[in-house]
Amino acid sequence: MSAWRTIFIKELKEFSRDRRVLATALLGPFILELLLILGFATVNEALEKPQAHTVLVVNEAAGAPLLEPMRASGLFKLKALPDGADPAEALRRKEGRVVLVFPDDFGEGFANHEAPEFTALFDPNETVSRVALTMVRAVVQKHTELEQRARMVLRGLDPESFTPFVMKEQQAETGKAFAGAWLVSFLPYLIVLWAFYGGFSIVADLVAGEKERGSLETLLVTPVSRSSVAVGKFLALASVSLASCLSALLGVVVLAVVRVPALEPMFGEGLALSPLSAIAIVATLIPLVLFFSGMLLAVSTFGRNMREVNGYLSWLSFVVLVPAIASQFIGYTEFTTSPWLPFIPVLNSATVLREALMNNVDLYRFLVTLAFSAVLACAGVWLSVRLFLSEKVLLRT
Amino acid sequence: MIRVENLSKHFPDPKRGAIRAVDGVSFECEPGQVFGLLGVNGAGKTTLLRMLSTVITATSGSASVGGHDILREPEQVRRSIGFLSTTTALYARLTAREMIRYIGSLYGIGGRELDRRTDEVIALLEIAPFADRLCDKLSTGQRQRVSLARTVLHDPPVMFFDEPTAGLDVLAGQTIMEFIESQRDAGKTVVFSTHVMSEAERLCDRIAVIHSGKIAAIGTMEDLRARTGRTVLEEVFLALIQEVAA
Repeated sequence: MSAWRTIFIKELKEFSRDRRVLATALLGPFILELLLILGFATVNEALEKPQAHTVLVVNEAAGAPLLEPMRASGLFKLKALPDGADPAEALRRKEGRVVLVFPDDFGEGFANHEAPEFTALFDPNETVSRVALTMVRAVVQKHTELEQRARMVLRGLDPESFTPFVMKEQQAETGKAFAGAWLVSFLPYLIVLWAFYGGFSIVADLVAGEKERGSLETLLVTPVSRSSVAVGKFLALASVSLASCLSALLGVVVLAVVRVPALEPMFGEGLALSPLSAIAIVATLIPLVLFFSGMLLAVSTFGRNMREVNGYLSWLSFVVLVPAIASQFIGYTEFTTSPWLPFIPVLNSATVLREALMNNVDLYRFLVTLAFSAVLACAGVWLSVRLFLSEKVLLRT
Repeated sequence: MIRVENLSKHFPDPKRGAIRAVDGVSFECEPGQVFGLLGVNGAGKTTLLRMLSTVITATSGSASVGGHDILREPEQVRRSIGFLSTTTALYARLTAREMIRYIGSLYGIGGRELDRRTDEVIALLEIAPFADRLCDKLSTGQRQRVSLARTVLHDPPVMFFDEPTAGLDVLAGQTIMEFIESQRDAGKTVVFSTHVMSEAERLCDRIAVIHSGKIAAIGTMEDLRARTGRTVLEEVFLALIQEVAA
């Protein structure tokens, strides 16, 4: 058996006996994925459930023509503001989200087919107040249209002839996504994170830990070349990172199969993944994992001890976290079509993963990302092997 | 057999300039002999042994170990040596047997030969009662036996022992001393580094007193006593390193 394989198998054997590794690198991604998705689904469900906002009313009797449809919509809890109370103060004290102030002649003006004014007072610093205002606006808009049509009919006019155009909204057939939109935009971020953090629990121990304990010297006095030692350790680290990603993906699949009611909006009609997309996901993940593993192993080789390595790893996390976080929001921007995107490490892979999950892989972007990630992966491996060959680095304690 | 000629190792230091950890060291060591490196901590013993075992490269000079040049044939050198120090550790999550087999595999021993050699060293060093226990769960003495086993598994003709008894209790230390004697008796070339005078006196056929990276004197115990005119080894040692310091 070649030396690197012997080292690779030994490292995997040691990892498999380390409860910390099993918990954080293998079981952790699976459980965290379940908890994260369930947690977000619960929050999402709560947000999407229509919430009746309290609307305070000044001069309720005068505002009756508008308050009736508002009450009927079921979206508001209408409450009369006590006489003499300050509407702004009532908003500040959050007694209501919006205050509607009707003048005494509002009802009369409405009955006479005039356009009476009323005031909607809201708190611009409160998101909920702004949301409530939008809902009030929608009901007012709808009721205005109905009233306009009724008045036209009363005057013998055909309301349709006053409609300049009608917009029809239709969903385009761009292919069935892997899951609901939210999950598709969030999942690449999680996969990228596990490709990096999967190896976190073992990397400091892998070389710096061996330096600290003195077992590295045991290895260095054998006839095995240092590049074989580096390659064996590198592949072991990459395997654990890849296993973390797959464990996270397995968590998603399990949730989709179990069909938890709260997750219905998230998974839609279940999971759908074309063979091309599945290949694209694995093909994108492998060089990404190799790139991360190369960087992590280089850090572990460079560090004098585990403590120093953990310090470097905190900084390295930012390098990975920033583009990973950006990947969540890139779908909202035009940057998705930029020719430069495939050359931005991490973000490029996350974008391809997102497209693959939408079953909408752009072949050019996929291939360029793959090639660029492969170059970075080679650079990562080269760097870690190079550091392993440097006695100044390898033996710094 | 070991031949060392004018071997040096300098480490660059931004504050102090080049540190001469080993400075122009020369000696020879024959099979069936224990050659002692006697010096205080930081004298350069470990650096010298690391160069000879090709863990680090020499800045200048040359050496051959077991007939192989340390610069041109590092892999063959490592194949022909066994290296033990108290700082060389075992893998906590491997059993003693797995540890021995792992190192054996790295020396290219496989199949039945590996089984045979593993069983042999386990019997030789009386490891059997704890052979299937994780190294993490072994006592210091048991660990040291496993370390000895992995050192001799490939039956190397040259053995390096770098302060192998440091931190060990009397019994564990005794096991190591007896083991070194057995290796010498088996005709192996042994280099033994220590700062403990009594160990050097007991084991070494020839001793090199090393101080500040330089060899202060080489010879048998009698040679060194005659040169300094002292009989107590500590006094002999102090007299020799004072010569270097002067």
